[in-house]
Amino acid sequence: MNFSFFNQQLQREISGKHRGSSPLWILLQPLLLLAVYSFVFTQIFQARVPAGLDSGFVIYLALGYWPWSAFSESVLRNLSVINEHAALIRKVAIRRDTLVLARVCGVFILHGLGFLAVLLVLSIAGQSVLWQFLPVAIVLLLLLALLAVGFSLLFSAVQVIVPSISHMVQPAMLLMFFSTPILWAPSMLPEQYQSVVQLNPMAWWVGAMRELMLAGSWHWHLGGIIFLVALFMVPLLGYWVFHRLSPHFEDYL
Amino acid sequence: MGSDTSSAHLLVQAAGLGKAYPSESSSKRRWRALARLLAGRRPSLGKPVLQGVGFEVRAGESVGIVGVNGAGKSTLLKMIAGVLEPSWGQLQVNGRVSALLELGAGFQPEQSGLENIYMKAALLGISKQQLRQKMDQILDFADIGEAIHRPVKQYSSGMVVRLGFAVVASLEPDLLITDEVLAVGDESFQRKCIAWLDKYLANGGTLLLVSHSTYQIRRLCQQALWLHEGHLHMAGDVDQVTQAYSSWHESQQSQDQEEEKSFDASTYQVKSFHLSVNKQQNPSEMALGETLCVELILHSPDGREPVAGVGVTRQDGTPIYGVATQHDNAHGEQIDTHTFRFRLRFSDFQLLPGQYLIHGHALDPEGVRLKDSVQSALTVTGKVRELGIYRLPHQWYV
Repeated sequence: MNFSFFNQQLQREISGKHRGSSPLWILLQPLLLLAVYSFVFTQIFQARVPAGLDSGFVIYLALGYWPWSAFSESVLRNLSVINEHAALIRKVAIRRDTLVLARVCGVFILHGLGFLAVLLVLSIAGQSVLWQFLPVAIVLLLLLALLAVGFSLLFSAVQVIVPSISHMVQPAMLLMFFSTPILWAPSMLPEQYQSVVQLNPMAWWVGAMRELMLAGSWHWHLGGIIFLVALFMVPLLGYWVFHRLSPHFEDYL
Repeated sequence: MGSDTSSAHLLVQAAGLGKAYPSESSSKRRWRALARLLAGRRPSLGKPVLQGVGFEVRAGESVGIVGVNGAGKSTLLKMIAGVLEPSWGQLQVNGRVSALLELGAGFQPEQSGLENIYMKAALLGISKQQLRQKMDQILDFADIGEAIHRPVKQYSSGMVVRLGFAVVASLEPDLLITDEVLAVGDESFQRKCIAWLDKYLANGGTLLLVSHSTYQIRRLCQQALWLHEGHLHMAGDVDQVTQAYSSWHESQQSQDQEEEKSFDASTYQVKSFHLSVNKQQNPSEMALGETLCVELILHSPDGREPVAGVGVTRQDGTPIYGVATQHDNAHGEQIDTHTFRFRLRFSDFQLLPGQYLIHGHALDPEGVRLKDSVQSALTVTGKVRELGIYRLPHQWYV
């Protein structure tokens, strides 16, 4: 691993220069989104938080939405990461997984900061956020980042050989978004679907994050085991597939 | 340069090297290719672009690669540079390799030249601190002024090469790989590069150079490889290989010319055009200061003497000198009713080493309309350090 190259790529990802936007938006955008969501869900839909979590809906949403955004954006933006760096890959021998890793780290750092800003604003606005559990929340975010690295390696490599995969990954991510209790609460589901949702590794993660930061509690159940299995399998699979395919990227770019 | 520059130190070792690109492009075939790649098997490949190539490069050697377009030169260099996976054979590359492959050298087009320098250095694991010490040297070598702050996509191809070479030159690689880069920069930059390469080689550096200029290859390399249609056609001493390559080229050219040109007796035509140096007919090269003779046999449809012209241009067509019989009130020798012979001698031919074209022209007897032209390539050799294309007569005096 070439750390100076990684650092350099990470700086590019964070500075957002290649996207032509200023770093100020890193903090502004999540706060604007927060304003939109709190208006829509508290004024229009009058959404309710499930019983047991004594909090407003907006903080309930925020604790799931920002980590999800980091995860989803990492995977989706990495679909094209190899093609974006085709000029480099064709002419310079580099470890190509560095590009993927730098992008995931960049996205998680940006969204992590946005997440903190949102929690801070909500906390100031009177929501009770259990700040003492922040270190555990950060560990949870790191685990999520690892899962994102796995999916990103997998899809970015396959995308080079089979470009049409990106048309499947995008709807799949949308499906995963709606099957994760981010906008809704599991208790709103009919009985028979409640156990199905647990099969989604993200469902446990979002639930765990909320319980931790709002109630200070921690529950293991089947979903947690599934999350851990996914956390172990997906990065391994992604790494294996990426390294099988990456020597051949140049042939397909 | 590398710490170990003993002649036995192998930098590149290739055996049975081959490359073919995947043939499939349809979506279904791409899924199949994915499955095969994941299974560790080779996807179905198209026609090989390189096959059975084996050679070695030791530290301190400089190897030129010649061959026509599509012979597989760039593919070979890309594999050695590590950006392309060989389809067959073994390839081992040791030491720090720095490659300038075609244009761009892997620059990010959206970023400024300066950012690209940092990027390139980062790729090679050079810290910012080390780079700062070299920055003046790089900027000085590239010599593109304020453009360094503009995005690389706005650069001219010459500027891209300047920057690419400047960065590579500063990194002191064990093995330097360059692909036709010297052909793009202007004359003065080419000279700067060649001067740098001379110094690099003198200090024990190792060079792999692809060039269409056999002159440059002979100037810089001791060994040469000749690739032809994906095969290693010839390898060995640079003089032998480049001479064989040049004469092959000439035989191809004359074949082409014979095929192309059908003789048209109804107009003024060049029947034959020959160069000679020291009694040697049709040399491909001559030494600086030798005497060049040109013989031009022209056909005249009406028996009037045509005007004969001889021109000298650089390889890119830049004119250097042109003269016609009418300028000197000279006349040819009538061989028969329709054939005239013209002979021209350039004593003490003082063009500086490089590649030139000698042109022969047939004009109508009025010297107004150009009726026919032929040309012949000529390389002037010699070890000189003067600059430019022509040695003006001069004396230093006090």
